[in-house]
Amino acid sequence: MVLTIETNQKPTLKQLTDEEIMLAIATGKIELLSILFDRYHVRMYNYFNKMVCNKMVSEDLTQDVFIKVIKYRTSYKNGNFAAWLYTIARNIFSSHYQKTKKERSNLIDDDKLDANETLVSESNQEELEHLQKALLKLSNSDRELIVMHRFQEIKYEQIAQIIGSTENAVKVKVHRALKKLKEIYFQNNN
Amino acid sequence: MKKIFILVLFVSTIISAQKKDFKYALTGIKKVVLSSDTAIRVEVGTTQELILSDSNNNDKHNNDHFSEEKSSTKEDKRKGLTAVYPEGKDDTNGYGFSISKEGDILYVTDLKSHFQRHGLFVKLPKNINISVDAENLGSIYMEGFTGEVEASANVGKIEMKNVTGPITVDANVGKVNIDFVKVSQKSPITISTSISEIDVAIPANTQANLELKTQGTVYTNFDFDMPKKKGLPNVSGRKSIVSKLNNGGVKIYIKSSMGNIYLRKK
Amino acid sequence: MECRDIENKLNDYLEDNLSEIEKSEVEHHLKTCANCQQELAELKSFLAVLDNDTMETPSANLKLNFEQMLAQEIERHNPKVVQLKPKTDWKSYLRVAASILIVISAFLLGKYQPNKTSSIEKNTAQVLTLLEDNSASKRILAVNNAEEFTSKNTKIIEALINRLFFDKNTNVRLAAAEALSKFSSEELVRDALIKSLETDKSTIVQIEVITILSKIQEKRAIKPMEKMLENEETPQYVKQQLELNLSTLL
Repeated sequence: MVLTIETNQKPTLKQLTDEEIMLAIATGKIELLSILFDRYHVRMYNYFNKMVCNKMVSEDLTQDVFIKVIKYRTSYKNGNFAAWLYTIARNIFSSHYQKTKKERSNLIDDDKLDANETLVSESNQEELEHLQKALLKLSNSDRELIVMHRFQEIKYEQIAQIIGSTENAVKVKVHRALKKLKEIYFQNNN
Repeated sequence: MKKIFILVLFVSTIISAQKKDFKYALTGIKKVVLSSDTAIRVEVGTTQELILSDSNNNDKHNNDHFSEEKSSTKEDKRKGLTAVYPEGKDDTNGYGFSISKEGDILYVTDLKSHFQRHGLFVKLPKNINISVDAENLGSIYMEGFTGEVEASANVGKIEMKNVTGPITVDANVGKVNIDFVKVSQKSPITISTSISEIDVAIPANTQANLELKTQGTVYTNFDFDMPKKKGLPNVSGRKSIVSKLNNGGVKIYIKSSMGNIYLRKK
Repeated sequence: MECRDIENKLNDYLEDNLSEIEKSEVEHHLKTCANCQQELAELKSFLAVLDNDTMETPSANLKLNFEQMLAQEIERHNPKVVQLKPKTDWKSYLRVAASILIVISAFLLGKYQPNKTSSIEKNTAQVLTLLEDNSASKRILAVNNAEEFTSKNTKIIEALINRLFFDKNTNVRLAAAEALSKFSSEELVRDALIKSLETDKSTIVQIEVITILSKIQEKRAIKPMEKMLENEETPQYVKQQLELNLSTLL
């Protein structure tokens, strides 16, 4: 009954923030999730695609994120929504990673083929393939940092929130990961 | 990495040497952003450091009065543990602040609530830029700074002595009292409140473009060229006084929605 | 400074994240150190490759599957209120979507202005940069300068609206509101002022916006103002202003 009253309220700009929408979802207005889906699904998909390098799997995992959002919506407590969402995504990635541990080596080869086929054929395609290969050689945590910082352009401060670290520590880690990636990349190139 | 390690070492040696104050070296820092929901007093220190300490001894006395024994057992209990707060981890060895650096800005954020904190005493270099937010219930006192100062409060008052500007101050219910030793021509000075009075003193020879706006009354001992009334009557009864002091200069904008404005010539 | 310290800063150096002091340290070192020069060149070309990598668009399946899943979830969670709710829900969803559209289109309008290098453009660029300055006083200076532009300068107006909505400093938002009142012939500005009345928590800004809206005779402000009057949390002195200004609007 309370719900119907709430829906009659005129939405203000304030309600447009991710956090406000998520709080509304937490109180039962699940349909509003489609707004958050529109805002985040491309980023989520690209996060997974960089991490697992498989389009089909990435789509499935992205779907899982939003299923989890509904499932755990009442546990959302007013914090930064993006950080919360990435925390869910990270958990999904790590359980996926555990599940596929045995078949992982095979998987990566398949994925590489997959990636080759679907990449846009431009002059920098070769560079990007190299990059993708180099990325896959990094540890999960290093790869993740680069994906979040460089590709998803998340601020250090927020990454710190997501992975439960401090901003300065994240900065240092990102720099190191970038350096590693650069070394691998140039080794591969030569 | 090495640098950070040295810094940590440096900070921790200071802490162990002198348990009472927290110190942080401000190398490469141009601006300090401080927020705390308590009575904040910021004064000029003699070193290039940020120094945090509890407000004054009187408060301490009260606390000790209650539980001298307990506090020692408390300290034992806390040994080897770090306090954790909803907004983050304590970076100040028990002082309950998070400290983070972003470029040349240092953010110092109080993790304790208004009820846990009974006053805060801060020392900073004279020429550093400072932004202080007293959040909901806190108040601000600052003295002697020549850099740019920003201060914001809700219920508490804001008081500044011997400052030069640029200054940006907003209060809601609390009074504002600012005493300029001289007025910097660098960039505008803005002071605003909703219902409380604003009391500002500036040197007689100050060059400025002055704008005073309030529905209350303006009191001053400066001689203004009063603008002639023209056009439509002001619907909301808002009064705005625009005047040049000593042929004009930096913009000084003082606005209270409803409180009186006192502008004093020194 | 050793090479190792410098190396760690090169990334921030390229992204212009360093303080002036650190920047000059790095530059000073680079002049004399061939190793670090090479490192910088390598890093630059590498980061260029990284930046080439753009976001991919997922297939349409993702959205379809999501919508299916969401529909099921909604059915599962709200079976009882179905008869009453859909209409209002749909409307409120539309409203939210519409407001998003306003914000996005405002943003795009600002973004896709053609780039001319006339002096006006340069001044615009200067003001726009200064509007993002760390110093509140400088941002206020920029807002004051922005008032001098003609109402056709959409970029400036967008930036002012941005300040009005998002600046952390109350005085900057206040200055932005006052500056925007000079562009009140623009529909976009009127929309923004009404929105800010609904969202800004500072009573100083609230009172200023109330006065502006009544001065420009914006009838659409009547409803939100009446709502604020009814709200128990609105302070008495703000209500006083509301009553005063509502009388000139009605």
